[in-house]
Amino acid sequence: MEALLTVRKLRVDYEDVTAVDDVSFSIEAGTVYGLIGPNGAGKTTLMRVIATLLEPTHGSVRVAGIDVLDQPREALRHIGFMPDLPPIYEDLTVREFLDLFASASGIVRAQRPGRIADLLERVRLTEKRDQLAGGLSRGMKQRLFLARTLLHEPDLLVLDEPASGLDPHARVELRDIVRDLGQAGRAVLVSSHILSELADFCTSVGVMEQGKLIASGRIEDVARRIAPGLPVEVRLLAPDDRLATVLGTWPGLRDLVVDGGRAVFRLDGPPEDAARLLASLVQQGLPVVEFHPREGNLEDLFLKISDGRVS
Amino acid sequence: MTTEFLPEPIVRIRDNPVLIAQARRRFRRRKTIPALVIAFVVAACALLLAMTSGKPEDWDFLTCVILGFIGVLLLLRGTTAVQATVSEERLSGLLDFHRATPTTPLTDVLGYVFGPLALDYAIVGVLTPFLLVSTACGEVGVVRGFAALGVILLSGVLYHALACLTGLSVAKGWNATLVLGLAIVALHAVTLSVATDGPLAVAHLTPWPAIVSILDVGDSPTSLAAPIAFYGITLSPAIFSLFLQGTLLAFVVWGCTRRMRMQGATTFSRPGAFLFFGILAFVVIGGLWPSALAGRDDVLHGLELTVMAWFVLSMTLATILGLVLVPSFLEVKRTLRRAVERGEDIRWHHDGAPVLPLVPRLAAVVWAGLGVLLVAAVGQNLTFAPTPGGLILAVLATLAFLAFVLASCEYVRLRFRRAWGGMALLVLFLAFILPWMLAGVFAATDWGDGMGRFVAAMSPTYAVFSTVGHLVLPHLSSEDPYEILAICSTAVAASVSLVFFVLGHRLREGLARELRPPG
Repeated sequence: MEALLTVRKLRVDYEDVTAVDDVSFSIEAGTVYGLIGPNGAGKTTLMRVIATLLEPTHGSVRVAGIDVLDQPREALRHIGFMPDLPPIYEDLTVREFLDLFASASGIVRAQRPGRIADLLERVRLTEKRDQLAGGLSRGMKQRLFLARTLLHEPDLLVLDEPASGLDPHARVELRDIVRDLGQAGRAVLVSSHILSELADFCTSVGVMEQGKLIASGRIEDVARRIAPGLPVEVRLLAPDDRLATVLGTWPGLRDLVVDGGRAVFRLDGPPEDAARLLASLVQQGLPVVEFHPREGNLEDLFLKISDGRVS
Repeated sequence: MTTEFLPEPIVRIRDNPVLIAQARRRFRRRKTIPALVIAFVVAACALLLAMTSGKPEDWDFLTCVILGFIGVLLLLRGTTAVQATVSEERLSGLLDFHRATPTTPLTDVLGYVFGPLALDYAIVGVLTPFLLVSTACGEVGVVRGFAALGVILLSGVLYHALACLTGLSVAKGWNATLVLGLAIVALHAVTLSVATDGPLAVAHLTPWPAIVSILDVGDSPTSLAAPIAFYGITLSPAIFSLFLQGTLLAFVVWGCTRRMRMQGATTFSRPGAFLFFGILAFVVIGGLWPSALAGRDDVLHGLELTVMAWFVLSMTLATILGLVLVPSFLEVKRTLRRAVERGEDIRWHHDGAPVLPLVPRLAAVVWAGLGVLLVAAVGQNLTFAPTPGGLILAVLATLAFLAFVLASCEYVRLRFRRAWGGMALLVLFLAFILPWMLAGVFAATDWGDGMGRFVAAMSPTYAVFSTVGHLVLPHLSSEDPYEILAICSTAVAASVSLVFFVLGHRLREGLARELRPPG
């Protein structure tokens, strides 16, 4: 299956800085790909090239098999781009704003009202449809723009910092929408420098730093590559000095951090090793109340592979 | 239900999304109804006044007032409104959203040229019935009155397209709006106060010569309405203005679409710039043609003046166009990238190609224009008889001058990238201003005029001035042998150009190596 988005050896230079340097990755349908990196890492530049707004110095970008440099207009049929802090026409109503871009996307006139109504329902702005866009709250504007991005049913969504400035409730809504889009077979490229935001809905990640993509792939795969072994967390009923002693001598155990009655570490080998370790802890009389594989944490991951300049 | 999409035409006029959105925004503003009501009431009162008087000249006066008001509305207010809208949307990022849709750049440009003026066009619509009545009752007549309105509308579109181009190009929106507004006021003030005739008059960039000639009313400033002698053919100022403004409009819209398509693109492609230069040369030569055939006055033959005027105008245009075509660092990189990826050679007409191949082409237009003027004057009793040596020296001097300007600018842009402006200013000062300043200082001291001329010869402009001056006006030039200094000046300019070219070439080579895939 051909990937929906293929970026190959992409490089983008400004007059005095290389913003994106030799970046290659691909995204398949149904993937929500999180682009992680500190401010200035080159995420926005990369997204603007994909959205045909910037010509790269070198390399290629293909969306649904179409080269965005050679056939930008055809490629744009498949791309929905939502920039960071999207500006809107404050003196158009919500419906007029969407109608403008429905028309610009080439949707036939008869279908526009129905399509706009569906999307307003989806982003829960139906009641606001005749209100001026300038009167919407920040979160509503963000949802309005998301609706605009989805108007032409793009195969690839490029969302640059979509949750910045949103309240927790709006973030949950956004997360659900993005997750649904992924499940509906769209490919979503979403960037953020706030990692907790991405952790909930990304299936794959790419880590950018100083213009380079320093890691890319499914979260588990990246985590395994960066820090091999099963991440495990153990919690005792009460702190016990023997915990550090037992774990410290266990073969194949690494990255051990003991904090009172809690320990986190990575365990090499098959899952049976984890079962043997748990049995050993119990046999030695340690009051184990929790022993479980720890969820991959994007923040830990990022800090492992970057120099830690993340928000 | 599957969403259906329409194929995107080259230009959308009816269902133009930008135009509709901009119009909706304008009509939503609180001043819409008051503006339309005020326009209607004022026009109605003026109409009643004219009716009361009943004199034809009062109806004609009313026609002129309505046309004048529409002119100010569209040409001044409308132009600044388009510039401010485009600039604002470019800086806020809204323009990028239009770029990131399948609509063509031409569709977007049309939307921005007409959309922000929806209210202004509505006011024109309110005034149109009054114009119909006033022209019908006066001596002007309906046909001529509406022809004049058509001229204003065409000029308006040219100004609005120019404003759109400015909005797409200039960084500081408010400054550009102010400068544009002042430039329009100055242009019209010059046109209406110092009315001059002839095809080279700036008045033809305004609608007034065409309007005055169409209306042909009473005590109009006749020089504005004087027929145009163009290549020996007598043209109505209206026809000439329409030709000139229509041609400029086509080029400005072309430039807008290039800039609308990609931020940072040059306004013209290189072939486009040469086409533009060719058309401007055609207009300038057409305007100079009658004076080339004019007889001698006390001092000069008409042809000599004409040739000097041609040189000044064409060299200025060639220099400006050449500088516009000097690629930025990013353009050079992108051109190199495309060449590397496609395995193609870089041709002279590519945006980021070296500038030196442009030099002979620009000079060729300058000298071809001279040739055309000389052909026009064949059979005249001429004193203008250039020697082959003087002609060759003048050609070489112009080539060296253009090579110096373009090669130095190219090197500075590639070497200093974002901060190239300051360095370009320094080169300009050292090459063009300092030698003449020092020459003036030497001429005023005991060192004498000879030393001053020697210093002036260090400037590439010296060779052009001296060779062309001696070529065209030998009887007015000094008796001193000028050839040695002109040759020195040309040689210095050519050598420095060569140095800049080699340095620029090395920078390009370095970039090309960087972009070439490993192995």
